[in-house]
Amino acid sequence: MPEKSNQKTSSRARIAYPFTGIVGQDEMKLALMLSVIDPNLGGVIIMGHRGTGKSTAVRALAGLLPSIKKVKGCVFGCDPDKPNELCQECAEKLSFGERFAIARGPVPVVDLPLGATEDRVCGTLDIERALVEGVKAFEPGLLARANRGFLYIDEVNLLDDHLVDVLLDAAASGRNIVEREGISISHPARFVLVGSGNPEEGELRPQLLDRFGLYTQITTITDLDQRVEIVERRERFDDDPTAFEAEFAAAEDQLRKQITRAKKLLARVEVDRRLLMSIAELCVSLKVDGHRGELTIARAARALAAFEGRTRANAGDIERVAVMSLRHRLRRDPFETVDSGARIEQAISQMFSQSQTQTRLAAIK
Amino acid sequence: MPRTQRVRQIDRGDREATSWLPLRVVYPVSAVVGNETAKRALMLLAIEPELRGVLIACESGSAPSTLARGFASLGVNRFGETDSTLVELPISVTEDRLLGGLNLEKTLASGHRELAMGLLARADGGVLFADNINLLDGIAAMHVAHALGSREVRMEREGLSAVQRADFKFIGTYNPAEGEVSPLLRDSVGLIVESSIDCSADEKVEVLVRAFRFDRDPRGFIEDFAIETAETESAIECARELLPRVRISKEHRRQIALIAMKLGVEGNRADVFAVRAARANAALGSRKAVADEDIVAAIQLVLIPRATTMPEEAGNSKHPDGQQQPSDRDAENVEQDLVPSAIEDLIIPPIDQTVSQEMLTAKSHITRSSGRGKRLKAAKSARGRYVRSTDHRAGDFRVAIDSTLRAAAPFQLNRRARVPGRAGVRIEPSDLRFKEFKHRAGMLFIFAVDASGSMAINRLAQAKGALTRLLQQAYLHRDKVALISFRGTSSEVLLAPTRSVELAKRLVDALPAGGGTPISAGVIKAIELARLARLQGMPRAMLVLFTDGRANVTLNGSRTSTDELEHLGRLLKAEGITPVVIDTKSRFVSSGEGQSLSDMLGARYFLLPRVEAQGVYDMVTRAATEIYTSLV
Repeated sequence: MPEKSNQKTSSRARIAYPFTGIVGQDEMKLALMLSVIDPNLGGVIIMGHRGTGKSTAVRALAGLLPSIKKVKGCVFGCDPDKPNELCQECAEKLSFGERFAIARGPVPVVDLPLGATEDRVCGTLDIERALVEGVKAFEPGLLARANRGFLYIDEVNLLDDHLVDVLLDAAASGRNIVEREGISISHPARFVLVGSGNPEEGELRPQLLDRFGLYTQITTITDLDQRVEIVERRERFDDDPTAFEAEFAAAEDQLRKQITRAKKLLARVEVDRRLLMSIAELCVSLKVDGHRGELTIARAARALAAFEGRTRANAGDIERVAVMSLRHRLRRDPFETVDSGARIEQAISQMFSQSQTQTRLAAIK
Repeated sequence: MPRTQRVRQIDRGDREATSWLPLRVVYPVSAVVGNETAKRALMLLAIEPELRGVLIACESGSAPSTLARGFASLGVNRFGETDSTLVELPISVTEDRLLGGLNLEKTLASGHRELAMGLLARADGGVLFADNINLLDGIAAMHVAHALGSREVRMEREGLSAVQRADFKFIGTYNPAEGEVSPLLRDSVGLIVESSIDCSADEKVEVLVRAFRFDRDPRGFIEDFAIETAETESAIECARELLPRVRISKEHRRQIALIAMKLGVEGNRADVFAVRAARANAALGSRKAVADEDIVAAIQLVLIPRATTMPEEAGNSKHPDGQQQPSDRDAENVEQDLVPSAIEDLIIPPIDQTVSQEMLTAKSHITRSSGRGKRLKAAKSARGRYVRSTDHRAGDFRVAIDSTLRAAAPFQLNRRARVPGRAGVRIEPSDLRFKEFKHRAGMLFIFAVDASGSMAINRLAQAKGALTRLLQQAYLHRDKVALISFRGTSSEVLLAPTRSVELAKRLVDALPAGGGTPISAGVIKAIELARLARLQGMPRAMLVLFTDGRANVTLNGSRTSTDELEHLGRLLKAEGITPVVIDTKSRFVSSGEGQSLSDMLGARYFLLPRVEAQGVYDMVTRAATEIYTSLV
């Protein structure tokens, strides 16, 4: 769509701090990598102290994402290879036997800023076209822009309730249905939700919390050398972002390639039955409701194996992803003082020490 | 799809005359008496804009506030237009004024969407100044904090999508007696001046003398201080030039990180600010390398205000869980190896100086969340947040431009054909759409626990359990809870109003017990909390009083406790606080004291000799529901 506004636009896009330049916070980085490799994981929520690099990491993500194939000119960026997930327009073209013109483009990483109004999130009638041409045209919103990409909500626990409702609907169905102001449209809106926030600011609605595949907790780094390193890097970046970016270009490139390989490998990674059993046992022993817990662990373990170039997930993968997959799914007892992460770790160590003894016993027999 | 636009506003015509004040006569900074810490902080900000901002604790209208205004406009004479933008942030600012929205006149005239800049974008390249920022709405404070962090404003509102540059320095003052500044905002500015020390009698006289002179002849007064002003400006200018060449040793960097850790500073942003403050301070002192005194200044202005623990505490029993202690001791050992004792001597005294007992307790105040109410579903009023539009005009309405235009848009061709000639968009009454606002209408539950008797610990645990339960329901209601205890002759806030389960869990499980029962003191404290909450947009409060005794300590010896309590009862009613008394005395010992107490306060009375958290929770929610149904 041509830009009609006469506002001054500045071409200088801010350089984002490179992902590989982030010191420490391994759990958060791993969770983000896994959800890039497998978008079906359900995204990540990062909760923790202010000033620990939550939004820096998410904004750095854009630089790591491999480009994707899109239907040329489609505002929703439809995938030409997935006929079931097309928007109305592309689906019509397909049914008339037209061939799609294909373009490559970046994976969208869309910010949902606080204070956004519903019309900009869902999309609505295009005023300008209506005024000038008298046509009722749909103007896509943020959900359309985020299709096939990432939707990032900073301070997710402060998001307005009515926007949460909109997000939940779209996240559950993968489509955004708009019925407003004489517009009636449904379009694909498959996106990976990434949220961050500080738990001290308030609680998150449980329905929304449940939507996130992985939950990572982030705390202030207490290692002196790392802290000094963080400050030094931050200063270097602020003083000369271009030079800093160049310094990490090789590392970024390598990580990008690793992600691309992992995405290709993902479909071939196997999780054998014995592992699935132990995942189920773990969830049973922790009394996790529903099946999302098991599913998330299995998927995350698979993505982790792919990330490390293996075609088979192992017990170690499960140990590494279980805490972030389950942390927000345990039943919460108001009088519980033990951190849920610690409870999960305990359950894992118990289970695996048992299974190890069993395998050893079996070996002896 | 509308591409997100990066906007840098150059057109000054759009700015309102009231919100930038280059022409206003400002009391010269160099004539402000005393307040050296605040002055230093402001100078450091002028030297190093990467420090982002300064917060100064002071009473409004006092010297630091004058100072802040003066500093904000320091550049006017010297650096010309670019540096001179001073945008004042009114604390009652609405979200669309802050972020921007559709420009009605221009949009109607042209038929194209035109952006009206918000305050944040207008402050780009200059200074954003606010008095009493602790009274700023939580959401507004968050927007300011985000703009400080990202130097831009992302707006997705009213059919507009824009990224506007908002690279400004922030100067804010607040009166600590009226509540804390939003933690997000505190975190996003570099320098915080927590203590503005009262000046001596001599200085006070000098302040008055100068104030009179300024009132009588502002121009002349400014002339009189022209030399001093020029000196301040040239000091800043020289330091700015030197700054890029100021070095800081690895050793000093480690010291900053270590002190930050010992003080329990959250996040890494403070470390970055501290290093920058140290370098700016060195530049101000014409030093090319950071010296120990610069580290001290950085610790004072950056790290101490963000402390969550005090180094002195590490050894003693402040942490109820034993796990904390070993790590603290480790830190201490590490520290002994690292910091030569001479430097430690230099560093520790300022900590002692600034850290009063008050500050230690004040740290439990790092709360204040922000949220909108859902309890009274989308309360209709023109306050709060614009969430969507409707075609009903209700009460104090405001037109939703975007929706109105959308409603009118499809008919434009027809209407133009019908009555040709007139330019612009034709809007008819039936097109009008109105903004629907939602504001937080959650409730503040204040639990006041009598810590005088022997059962104090039980009561505290019950109150804690009940308030945690309430918080876990808070995502439905957007309510907040607070906890205060009273014993002896005074009352203390254990948990400032919060919505966070995390903070509530961290509450101490034990507290000193025994002494008299100053119920009045507890009630007064609760009223103070409720007043503050109301300033921040929480109109309703409930006071849940846990006691098993009779009031036997009055606020003022000359009154009887009956008089006092009856008076407080009327005050509670006037303040819109609903009191509830929970009598924890067993039935056969009780001689009706709890009942008469609740009569005096005009409270609901519940006898719960074997209180359980669940019972208290049920009771409180029942009472709350009754209040709401009576309101609606």
